[in-house]
Amino acid sequence: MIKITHLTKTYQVNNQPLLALDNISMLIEDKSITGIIGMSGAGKSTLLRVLSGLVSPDSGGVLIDGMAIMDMDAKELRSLRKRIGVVFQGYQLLMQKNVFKNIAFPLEIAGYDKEYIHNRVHQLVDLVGLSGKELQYPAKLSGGQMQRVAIARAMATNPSILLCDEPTSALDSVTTKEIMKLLVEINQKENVTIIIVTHEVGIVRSICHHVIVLDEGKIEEEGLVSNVFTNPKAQITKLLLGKEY
Amino acid sequence: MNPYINLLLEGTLETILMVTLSLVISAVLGVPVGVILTLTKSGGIAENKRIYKGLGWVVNMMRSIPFIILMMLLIPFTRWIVGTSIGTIGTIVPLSISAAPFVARIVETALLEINPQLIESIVAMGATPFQIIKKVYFVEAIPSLLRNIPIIAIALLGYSAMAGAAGGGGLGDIAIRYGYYNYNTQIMIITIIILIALVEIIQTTFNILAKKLDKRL
Repeated sequence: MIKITHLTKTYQVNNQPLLALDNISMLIEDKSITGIIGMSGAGKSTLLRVLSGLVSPDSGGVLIDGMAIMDMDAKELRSLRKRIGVVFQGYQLLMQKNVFKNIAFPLEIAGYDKEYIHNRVHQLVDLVGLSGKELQYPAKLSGGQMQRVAIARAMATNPSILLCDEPTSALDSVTTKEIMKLLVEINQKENVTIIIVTHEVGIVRSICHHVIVLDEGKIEEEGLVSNVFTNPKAQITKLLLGKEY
Repeated sequence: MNPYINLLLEGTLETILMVTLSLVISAVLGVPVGVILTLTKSGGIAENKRIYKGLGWVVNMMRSIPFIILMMLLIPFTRWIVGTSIGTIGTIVPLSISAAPFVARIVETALLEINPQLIESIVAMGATPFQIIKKVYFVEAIPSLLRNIPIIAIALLGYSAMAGAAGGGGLGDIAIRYGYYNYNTQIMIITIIILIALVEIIQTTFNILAKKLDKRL
């Protein structure tokens, strides 16, 4: 379970304080798929960075499986990171390494032996449907295939949490559907908690169980997707849902 | 012409030796500095304004000393290190030292080309700073580094010829002593042709290598 309590983060932008996260509290159940939705600048990416330990908040806490990430030293944080997979916006693949090496990367830095890496990478390649592409370089892949590599890489160390930052923002609608299907499959097969940060209502509607609506660093609304999207209360939710309301 | 063939051959080999050795030594000195500059720059994985500015200042200061003056300035040091301040060996010391800050800046530039978001994603995977340097920076930047090696090597070739005029060995020495002081235009022209050929070979080799190893193409 992920427990977030009173999280606050301020950035200095041109010497002006910018409140990116304003007293955010939430609970994310194990093995659920949660969508964090909001417009650009709502604080989604900051929240994701705090969750992955890349940015430390000004105040508040994050408990992941009962462990507070704020209290961790660099070494503990590194070992925690192996239990959190992140699919970054824009894939962020190593362009000079082939598909196999990209997926193997988190395992290599974690110090697994060659044989284990070999077997695990082949499992992952199968999982994301890229068999036969192991020796290709990212530059030769389509956007959807690159995203599959990024997902496989994020899943390499068997994380209990998978964070996805705008996982479909650069993909066409058909590929988006395929990637969504893959995420659901991974959620079920690998028992992983998935958190998707997005500005696309369709993604949340099609695969998320829970939704959290962020605006200007605050949670405006949260709950089951079926409830929130059929009966939106906050103005921003209505705005995001667009024509339908 | 015949008696000069051996002389030119020897000079060419000396020049190649000077350039290659100084390239290697300047890399040993300059690469770590370039890495530290990259890491400590604002936004780097070990951001540190003081180290970045201090080191940057040293690099800039060293780069602003003209080579021929640096060579003179370093004479006692060169003598202490290799026992002589003239000839091929005596030239390698000032060549390496003058190229090192150049290498540092080039490494910094090449490493900064790597998308900071990629580095962030690698940090999020739990990589140590050392793993990031070894497995990300020096893998992703290989094509860019290879494309920059000729720039340094050709600058060194130019400096080595200059050093020839001030007691160094190699083709510069031959061009000055036989070509210029002895009014032997033929020798002068041949050394120039050899230098042009060397530049072409260096540039072409590294272009091919960079192209072959760049997986983005």
